[in-house]
Amino acid sequence: MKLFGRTEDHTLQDLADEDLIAMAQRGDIASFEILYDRHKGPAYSLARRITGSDGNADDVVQETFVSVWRSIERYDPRRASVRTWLMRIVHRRAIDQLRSQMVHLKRRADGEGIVEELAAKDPAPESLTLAAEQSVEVREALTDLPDDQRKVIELSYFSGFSQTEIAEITGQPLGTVKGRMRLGLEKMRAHLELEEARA
Amino acid sequence: MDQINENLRDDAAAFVLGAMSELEREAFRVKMMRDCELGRYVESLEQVGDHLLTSSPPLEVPDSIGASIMAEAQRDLDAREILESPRGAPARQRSGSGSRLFRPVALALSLLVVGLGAFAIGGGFDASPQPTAPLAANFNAPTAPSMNGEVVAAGDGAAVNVSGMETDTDGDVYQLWVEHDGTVYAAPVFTVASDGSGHAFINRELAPGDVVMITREPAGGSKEPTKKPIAQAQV
Repeated sequence: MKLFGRTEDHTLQDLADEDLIAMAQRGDIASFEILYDRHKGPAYSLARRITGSDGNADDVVQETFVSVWRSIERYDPRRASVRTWLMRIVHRRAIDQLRSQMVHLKRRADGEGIVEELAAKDPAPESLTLAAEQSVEVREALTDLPDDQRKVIELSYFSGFSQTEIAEITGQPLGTVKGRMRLGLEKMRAHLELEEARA
Repeated sequence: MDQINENLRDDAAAFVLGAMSELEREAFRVKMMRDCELGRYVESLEQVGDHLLTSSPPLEVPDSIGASIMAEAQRDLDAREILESPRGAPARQRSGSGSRLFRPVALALSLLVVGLGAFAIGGGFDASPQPTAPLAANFNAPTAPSMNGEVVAAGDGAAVNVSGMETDTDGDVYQLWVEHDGTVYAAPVFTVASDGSGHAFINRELAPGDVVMITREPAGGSKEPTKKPIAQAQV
């Protein structure tokens, strides 16, 4: 394996994300390509879910990975795994794009339909791959929440609404919205901890 | 964590879900820095947030995205090679160069290239022609006084290196344009790092007198400039 220049892909495939990042930080583009291949699926799915359109998801994923390549030295393994780091960037960029395009303002007019709309975007369960088992667990944890708690989490995390906007959309006091967010997250945390203990 | 009052825990949830305004986020960050227990509580909720990031059902990713990303990455490498080699045309093979070192030394290298270019154009040590001498020019940005940058053209491409750019672009990207013989050609879009620095590669040959411009455009770029140039450089 070479540290500089193009390395053998079959060797790279065996490396952990952190090793690939280290090589990409030295300018190895083949390592970066493997990283992209590994994480493009979840990245695109998240971008598509947030932005609601293929074109915008394309832009978000492209901008994310190009910016990651250009500032790859910023990755700090002490702070997050490579996947989490990448996905946080995708999330931030997708929400930024959503807000900049004012899509959420259009959706505000029909806030009641947002959760249903998001649910409708989900493909059939049989199309899920084994690699997505974890995401299935998380979605189960989300689905198990009472509707009012699930809704505020969806509206904030996947639709980019602020707590004040959510209070307007749902017609609930701000304190109620915040309380529901907290209860929802705490329940999900308990659910996921239980699943982890079982595994 | 039980000692944290309910209001703070509510705020923590809103913080993790990104449901706070910038002002609210900053105020909450200050509270977190002062309260370790609160920080630990936020961390525990952030783990849920990180799980949510990967909760979307998998979708098929269009091949064009990967091709476009890798082409852009390759152009970056080519641009680095131009900056690192005063005579060099962009490399055509995939090869590594010090990404971590690139930004700190890029300006110095660019200046070296510019100096060598000027030296070569001026005749160098002798008066023999220097057909591969790079063309270079600094950007002029009257509306963005903190912006600096240069374009270095060599071979069939040109490297653009900027600093001091506005980072809060509200979703916009920066786009390069080349004006040649009165016609404006679209060139790549680019983004800048949080310190306002950025670089891009123009994949076309520049001629003396060409003008390279930078505008802010909606995400994805535009077919023709939609705003006045922030900066321009005549090579």
